[in-house]
Amino acid sequence: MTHEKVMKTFEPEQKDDSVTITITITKGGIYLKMKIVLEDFQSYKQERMRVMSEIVILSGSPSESSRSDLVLKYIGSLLKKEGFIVTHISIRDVPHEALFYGKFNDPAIENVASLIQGAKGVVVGSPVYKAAYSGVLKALLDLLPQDVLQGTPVLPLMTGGSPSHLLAIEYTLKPLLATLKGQNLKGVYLLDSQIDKRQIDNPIVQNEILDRLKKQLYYFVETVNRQKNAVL
Amino acid sequence: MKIVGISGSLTPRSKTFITVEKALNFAEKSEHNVETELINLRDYHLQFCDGRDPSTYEGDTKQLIDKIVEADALIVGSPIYRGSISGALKNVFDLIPNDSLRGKVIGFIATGGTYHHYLAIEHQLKPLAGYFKAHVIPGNVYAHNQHFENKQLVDKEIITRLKELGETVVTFHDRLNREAVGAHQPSIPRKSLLDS
Repeated sequence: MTHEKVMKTFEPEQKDDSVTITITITKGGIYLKMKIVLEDFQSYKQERMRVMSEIVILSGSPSESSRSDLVLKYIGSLLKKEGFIVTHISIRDVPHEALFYGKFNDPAIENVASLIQGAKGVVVGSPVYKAAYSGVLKALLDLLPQDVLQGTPVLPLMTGGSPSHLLAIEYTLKPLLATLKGQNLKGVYLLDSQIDKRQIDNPIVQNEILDRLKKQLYYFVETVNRQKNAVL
Repeated sequence: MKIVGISGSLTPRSKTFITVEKALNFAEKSEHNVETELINLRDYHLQFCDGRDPSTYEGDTKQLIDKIVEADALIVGSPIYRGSISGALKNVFDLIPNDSLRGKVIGFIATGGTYHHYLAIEHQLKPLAGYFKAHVIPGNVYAHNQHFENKQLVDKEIITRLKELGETVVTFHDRLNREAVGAHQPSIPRKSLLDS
């Protein structure tokens, strides 16, 4: 029995809104040609992207040059590398009037609420003030619907001046996020001294804490992906 | 005035025992009429609280309950395990009658490996004092490994603060004299399924 060669060709052709794949199999003098057309490919891709992710990173720091903000931006860049669409929200972007007078139907508040509601995962960061989360973060969360984090994995993060306040994350931030029905992950507590404000691209200067942050971030991504796959 | 110190650690020569003992000594030296007793949970063979009437426990358990009931003020120390009070010490709070600390003054001490669990006093120990309607003195002491050398407390600042804690417990008790007890709480009837 002689060995006959089987020829296969595979020709994808991508257009704006469709992809055509032509497969040709040739054996001896006979050939089989198949054409597969994926229509409306663009909207499929967009839909896929929308479902794909949307991580909201919420910063509760009122400070203009904030260490917790820097770390959250850094986390955002790591998540983008993982292919997520990341949206940063800072309480500094929310009008003071809305927060101070409790205007829960202010468009800015509604926008924050819908962004968080649509998110597949949320990172919430706050500096430690008086052994607790910042008042202004609480002022914002007070205005959001009570189930705004329903079914959402949440990674809490806090930065503080002293190691003594590590448990503020357990006793103040996590219960608050749990009340909003978020699914808390372990979280990360960083010391101010572990963050270098001059290194914007990589502000965490201590390797041990950087490893811990990456590990927690890995758990967060894993949880978000697991939930996403369960939904699809 | 009788001040009872409780060391909530079961470890031999623990950081908790050392710090409570120190604070208790300072309290005793601060005024002539202060009598103290240090209860080391390691020395007591305690039953686990099973919900029975506290007056029906026997042996070491009864002794411990009686000592706490008779105390005018307390200095309570706990090692911090998993970010919270030790189980052995929580069992003591479970055993004692609900009104046994009412209006009494408590000073809290906690010990750990690092400063990380400092807030456990605020969030785990103080709520217990709240339940028992006790007065907690302002300012707690948290001591960790670096404050000790060769099984001795060597950190001067911690020693000073233990002195302040001990003396404040005495001052607080002198001023309040168990007269400020606050609003009465609804009583919780003890009811076992066996009784019904």
